Amino acid sequence: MLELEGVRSGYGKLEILQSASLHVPDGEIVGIIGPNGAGKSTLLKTVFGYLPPFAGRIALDGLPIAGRRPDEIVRWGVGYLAQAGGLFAEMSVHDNLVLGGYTVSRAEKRNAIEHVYTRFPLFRDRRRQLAGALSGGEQRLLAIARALIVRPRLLLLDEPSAALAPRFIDEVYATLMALNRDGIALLIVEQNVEAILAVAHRVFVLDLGQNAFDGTPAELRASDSIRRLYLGEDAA
Amino acid sequence: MTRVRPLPLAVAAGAALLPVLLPHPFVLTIATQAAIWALLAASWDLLSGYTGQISFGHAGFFALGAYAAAAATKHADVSPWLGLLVGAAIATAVGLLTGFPALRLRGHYLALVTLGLAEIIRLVAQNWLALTGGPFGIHDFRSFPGLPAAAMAHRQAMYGVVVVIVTVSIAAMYLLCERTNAGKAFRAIREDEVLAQTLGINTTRYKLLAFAVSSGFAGLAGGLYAYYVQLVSPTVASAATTSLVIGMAVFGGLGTLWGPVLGALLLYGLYEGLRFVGVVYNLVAVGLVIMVFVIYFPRGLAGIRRSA
Amino acid sequence: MLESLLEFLIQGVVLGGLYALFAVGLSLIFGVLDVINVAHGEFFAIGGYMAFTAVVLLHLPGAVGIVGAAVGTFLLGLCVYPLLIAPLKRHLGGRPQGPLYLVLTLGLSTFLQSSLLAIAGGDYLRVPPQVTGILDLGVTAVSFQRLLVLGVAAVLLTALFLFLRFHPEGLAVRAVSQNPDAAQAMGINLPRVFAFTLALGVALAGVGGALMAPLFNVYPAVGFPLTIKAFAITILGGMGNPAGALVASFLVSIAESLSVMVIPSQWQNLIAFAVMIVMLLIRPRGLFGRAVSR
Repeated sequence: MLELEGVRSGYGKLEILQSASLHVPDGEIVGIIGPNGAGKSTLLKTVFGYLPPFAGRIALDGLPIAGRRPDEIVRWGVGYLAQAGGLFAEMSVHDNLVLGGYTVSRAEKRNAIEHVYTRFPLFRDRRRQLAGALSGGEQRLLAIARALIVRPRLLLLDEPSAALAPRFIDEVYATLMALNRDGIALLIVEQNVEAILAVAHRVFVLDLGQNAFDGTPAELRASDSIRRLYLGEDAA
Repeated sequence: MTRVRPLPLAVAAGAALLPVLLPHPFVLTIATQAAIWALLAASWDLLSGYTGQISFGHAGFFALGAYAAAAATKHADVSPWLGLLVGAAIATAVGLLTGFPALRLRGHYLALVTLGLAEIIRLVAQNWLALTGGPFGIHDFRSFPGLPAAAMAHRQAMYGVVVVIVTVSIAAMYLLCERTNAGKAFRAIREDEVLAQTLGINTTRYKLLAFAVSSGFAGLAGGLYAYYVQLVSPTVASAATTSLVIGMAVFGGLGTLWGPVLGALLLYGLYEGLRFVGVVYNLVAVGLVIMVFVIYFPRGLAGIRRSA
Repeated sequence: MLESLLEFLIQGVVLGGLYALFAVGLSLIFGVLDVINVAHGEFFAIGGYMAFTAVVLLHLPGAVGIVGAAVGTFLLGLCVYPLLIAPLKRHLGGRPQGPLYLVLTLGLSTFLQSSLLAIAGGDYLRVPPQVTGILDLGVTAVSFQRLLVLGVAAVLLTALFLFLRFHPEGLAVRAVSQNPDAAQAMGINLPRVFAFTLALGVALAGVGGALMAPLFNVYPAVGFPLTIKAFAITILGGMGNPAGALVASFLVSIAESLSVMVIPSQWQNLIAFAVMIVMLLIRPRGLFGRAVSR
């Protein structure tokens, strides 16, 4: 569904992604791990259009999307969840959801928001509360719920477990798994290697802006060098 | 950056030779005023271009210098030579005061404070009849003593006085910015103030220094203006003055010192020259210049050669 | 004494309507685009000229003049973002350089003001009031024209705040002002919102210009003193917070009006600037603004 080939990207003159290639098949969960500064976040931002790529090919179902703007890419069924600060903290939970439905019709928006409230009852109770007043885990869930309003086919997540207590990490990942069962493909950048290895169909390792390894979680765990370099000495 | 460039030297030499080559009263008038503007533009650049503290109120320091000098000579019979110093001193004092809020404000907020200050100065100039003569300003005060009496010779001598003072001032500012640690500090503050502080640069001291020097020379320019035009009215503190100065600096190139000087000479020449075409079109041109240059030639004329 | 107080209070409130039209637009533009529009006053002047053209030159009714001014300044305002601000943004490559935008709009201000001078001349043009007559309130008398200004301001600003609060496009504007990246992720087209917001802000000033034309007369520089005062008001209310600007407009107008009781009237204008400088020194974010990053 999503294909990257030889993508180079960065900020201004600073090149962070030297050459990255990966693909996300329909309905699968793909993880990206690697050391800090490897370009994982940069890759997601480039796919979603926050950063124009210097070179390379990015295609969504065969349609080239490299260099398109985020507000265009959203309309093609791709959602993006930032690592931090993705919500409108000074607006209510409800208004955040309404904004999530900016690109859809009023009726669809109403249905989708109602659907969200059913799936996540805590948001129905707190819908007038400011999004910034929610706890870290609740904010993460709200961001996911908001992204669902437009019924995406692919979600890009930048470290969904960052700064969350273990209980919330489980909840977030349970939600993500449920979304995947509904057919949504997920491309997840993660520092929390264990969390992603548990759910991904395939994992790409990025180092120094380039592909270092890719395979199934089992293959990653089987390789001694990968375990030592990226998973920590005592990974099972 | 530290070598003395041939172009400004040529312009400077040309400027100096004008009274000899073209002893026409109109040319001399433009040249003298252009020189005063060059000093004002250079002083603005020191603060805003070099040190990155964008001031929207230099008209205020200019006006302070002009009013202080004129009032001193008119009411206290101070010699104009001394009057220049009085003007510069008062402008420096106020500039230093303005520097203190600058220590805590950045970007637009600093610009607005300076704008507000200039407006206050203008309002005071317009309304404090006893001190400033109100809307009519201050006139009938004497100019520099010891100059020849004959009309043409007087103009040439006046031109000479102004050019010498302006050149020395600009040279002093240039040396400060290019040949001393202060200059390096200014540029460090402009680029990244936090980094400058971590490198041990006393940003407080250098910011205040930039404010003091910049406002002082702006005040000096004001004093020169007062003794040259022999009339000081509230319009010198108007936004049009600030607008012109910023236009000149942007045109010439921020942060180069000689750029704004060149910009001032050219733009003022254009401004006055266009008076023949139509009095109003000159400011239209200034507005256009500011917009076009800020977007497409942010380094001004100085940068065009560099980027070519 | 109480009668004087009441009289000046009423005058202050009436003046506040005009200030609000000005300052709310200015604050909105800053909140969404992060640009201080030094040329705001010129749109006020242009509104006045449009009213003059409609009423005096084309002999159309006063209401047409007001609507024409609104539409005209809106359309003109739509050009500003794509022609001036967007190119500068591209050249700066995302590095925030607030003062350069200030310089840009200063250039626009100079350009517009002197263009008006070139096209229309510097004469003070007279525009007949849209409504005539005076309302006698006992303690003081207020012309219906001034009440019209207050009334129109009330209607327009109420509509604006309702729009921002409830309409999806209004939500989009607020979203952009709070978090442009997230707004984009929602499918909001940033350049469109920027252009629209700027046009909306200056159109408010344009309407103000048309309404005040009978009172101030129309000349190129008529808007500039208001602009600088509006800076002071928006700083007081919190730069980028239109509701704060609304409150601050009335605070300043009433303070100015009441001050006449203690200081000579020509020093009235100083109040706004003194307040601005004090605010910038002790609390740059104003009464209601977000914390300012130093």
